[in-house]
Amino acid sequence: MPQFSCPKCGAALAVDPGTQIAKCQFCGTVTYVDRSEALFYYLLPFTIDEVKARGIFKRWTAGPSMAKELEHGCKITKIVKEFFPVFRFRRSVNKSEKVFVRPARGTTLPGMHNLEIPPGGEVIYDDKVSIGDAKQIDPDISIGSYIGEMPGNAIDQALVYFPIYEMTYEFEGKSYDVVIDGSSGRVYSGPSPSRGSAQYMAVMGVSFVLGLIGGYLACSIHVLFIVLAAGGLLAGRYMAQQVVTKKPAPAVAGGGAAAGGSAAQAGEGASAPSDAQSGAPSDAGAQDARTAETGAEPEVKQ
Amino acid sequence: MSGETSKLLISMTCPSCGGQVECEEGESLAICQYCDAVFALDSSEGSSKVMYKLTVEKEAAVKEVKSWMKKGPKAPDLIEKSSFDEVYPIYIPFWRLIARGKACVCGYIERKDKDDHTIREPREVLINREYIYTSSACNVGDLGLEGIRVPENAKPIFFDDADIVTFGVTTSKDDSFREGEEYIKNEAISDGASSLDGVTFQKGFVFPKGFTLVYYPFWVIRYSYEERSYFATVDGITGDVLTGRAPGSVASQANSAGIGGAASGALVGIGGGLCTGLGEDGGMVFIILLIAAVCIFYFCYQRFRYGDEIITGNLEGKGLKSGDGVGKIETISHDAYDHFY
Repeated sequence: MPQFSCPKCGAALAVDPGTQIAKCQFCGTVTYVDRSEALFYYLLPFTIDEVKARGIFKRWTAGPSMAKELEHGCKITKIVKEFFPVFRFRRSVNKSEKVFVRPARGTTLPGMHNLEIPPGGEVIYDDKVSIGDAKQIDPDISIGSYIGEMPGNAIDQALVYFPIYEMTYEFEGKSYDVVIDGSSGRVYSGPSPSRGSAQYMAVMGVSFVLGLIGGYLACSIHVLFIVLAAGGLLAGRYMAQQVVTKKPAPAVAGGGAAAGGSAAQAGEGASAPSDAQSGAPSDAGAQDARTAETGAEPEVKQ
Repeated sequence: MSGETSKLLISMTCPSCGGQVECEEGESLAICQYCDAVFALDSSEGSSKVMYKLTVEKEAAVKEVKSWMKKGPKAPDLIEKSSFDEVYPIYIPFWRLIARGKACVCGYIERKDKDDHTIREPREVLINREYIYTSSACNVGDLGLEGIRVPENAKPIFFDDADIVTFGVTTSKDDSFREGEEYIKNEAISDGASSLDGVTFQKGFVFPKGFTLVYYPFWVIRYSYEERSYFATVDGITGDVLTGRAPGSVASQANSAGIGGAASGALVGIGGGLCTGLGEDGGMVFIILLIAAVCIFYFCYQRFRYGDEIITGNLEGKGLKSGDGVGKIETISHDAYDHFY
C-alpha cells in the first residue's frame, strides 16, 4: 500500500479507502487522488470468530430443508480461516460508474464464483495490518488478464481480501464443503444433505383423512363422529413431533433412548439415569414399554 | 515509493488565482476563497454523504430483541436458554434517492348495474407523489438490511468512522441511481393502477430531487441457543428489530400439523356431508368450505414444514417468515397531488 505525502508540505497524508479527496492535516492542502492507474490493497477483517462460525454452521444444519439428522450426525473434518482475494474494478462506462468483481484465484469453493464481496469495514492492507491466525490465499490470476477486457475507463482498481471460513464436513460417509463469510455470517453451500417434504405431507395427510372421514360421518350419520377429527388432530400432532424433533445430543440420552426427545418421551427421559445405572435389560424393557404405549409409530424412531 | 505515488495526487488549486481551494468529497461546485471564482468539479466520483447518530442504547437494543423473541412461533424457552454473545453497533451505507414520481394510468373500473350487467367506466389516474428509495450500498450478506426508513428525529452528525465499524461502499452509485428511478417509476404506476380494475395505458416519470449516501446505525446482536448461533439486527435510531433469525417451536409446528390437517379435513368432510344432504345449495357450501380448507391446510403446512427456523426480514434460507422487513420504497403521502377522473 502506497504511503502518500502531501505534495505541498511533504507531510504524510492520510487517505481513506475509496475516497478521492484528501486534506493534509498539517497545511490544509486539498488533494485529488487519481486512482485510475494504481492497484490498491484492501482487507475486510473478520468479525466472526471460529466458535461463532461453528455455531452458525450448526444453526444452518438445523434448518428446515436440511436432512433431519444432519445437525447431530455431521462431523466437521476441516475448518480453515482464510482471506480470499478478488479484484474489484470501478470503471466509468458511458459516463456512469460500474463495479466489476473478478476472482484473483481459481477456486471450486461454493459461493466464491458468485463473487460478492461481503459487507465489512474496509481497511488498507499494509504492513501494519495483522491477519492473525488466518491464512492468506495468494492470487494466482494476474490483474493484467482482466484489464484488457474491461469496458470504459478506470476509476480505480483494488485487490480485496475478504474473510471466509472454509469448512468440510462428513455426513453418512460423504464429504461436503461449505463456506461461511467471516464478516456477516452468510452460509454458502454446494450440494448438501437435504430433506424432502414427503414426510411432512404424509403427516398432514393422515390428519386430513381422519378429519375428512370424521367430518363427513358427523354430518351424515351422527355428530359424535367428529371425535375422529379430534383423533386426527392428536395423531397429526404426535407424528409431527416425531418428524420435527431433532435427535438430542448424545450426552443427554444414550443407547436406546437416543431416538427420543419428544414430549411423549419426557417421562422416560427423566427416568433415564436410573435405567443407565441398572444396566441394559431395564433399558430394553423401558423401550418395549414405550413401543407398546405409543402403538402405531415405532418405525418412525427406528 | 513516494515518487511513484506522488503522481496519483493532484493538488486542488484555483485555476484563476492559484490559491488553495477547499472542497469536500461529494461536492460538485467549489468557490475559491481568495478570488471568489466558482468552478465545477468534474469528478466521476463522489456524492454527498450523511451519517446519522446512533441514539439507541445497548441495553435498549437487547431489550427489543428479547421482546422480539417472544413474538411469533419461536422456541418458548428462547429467552431463558439463549446467551447473548456479542452486541455491537455498525454503520451500513445506503444509497438514498428522493424523487417525485408521476404516473398517468388509464383504464376502467367495473361495477354491476341493477340488472346484474357488468359496466365498465373509463378512468384516468394521475399520480404525483414523493417517493424515497433506499438501497444498501454494499452487499448485505446475512444481515439482510436492504432498505431503511430515516425517521424524523434522526440526527445527522459529521462523518466519523473512527469508533464504530463502518461498512465500505461496494456497489455502483450510478447503477443504484438508475435502479432507484426505475423503482420509483414503477411504484408510481402501480399506485395509479391500484384503484383501477383494468389498465389500458400507463406511463411513468421520475424527477430526482436528491441523491445521497446515508450511513445508518444498527445494532448487531449475536446470540446462541443450543450451541447454534443466531442473530438479530436493531435499528440504531428507532430501536425496531429489522432482521433476524431464531429457532422455531416444535410444539407450534406439531400443533400446526395436527390442527391444520384435521381441521381442513373436517371442513371438507362436513362440506361433503352437507353436499349430499342439501342437494343443489350444498354444492355452493361445499365449494366455500373447500376453499377455506385449502387456505387452512396451506397456512398450517408452511408453519409445520418451515417452522424450524423463524426469519424476520428478507434473509436467505427456507425458514418461516415472521414480522415485517423494510422494503426499498417509501411513499410520502402527505405531499401527494393525485387526480382521479
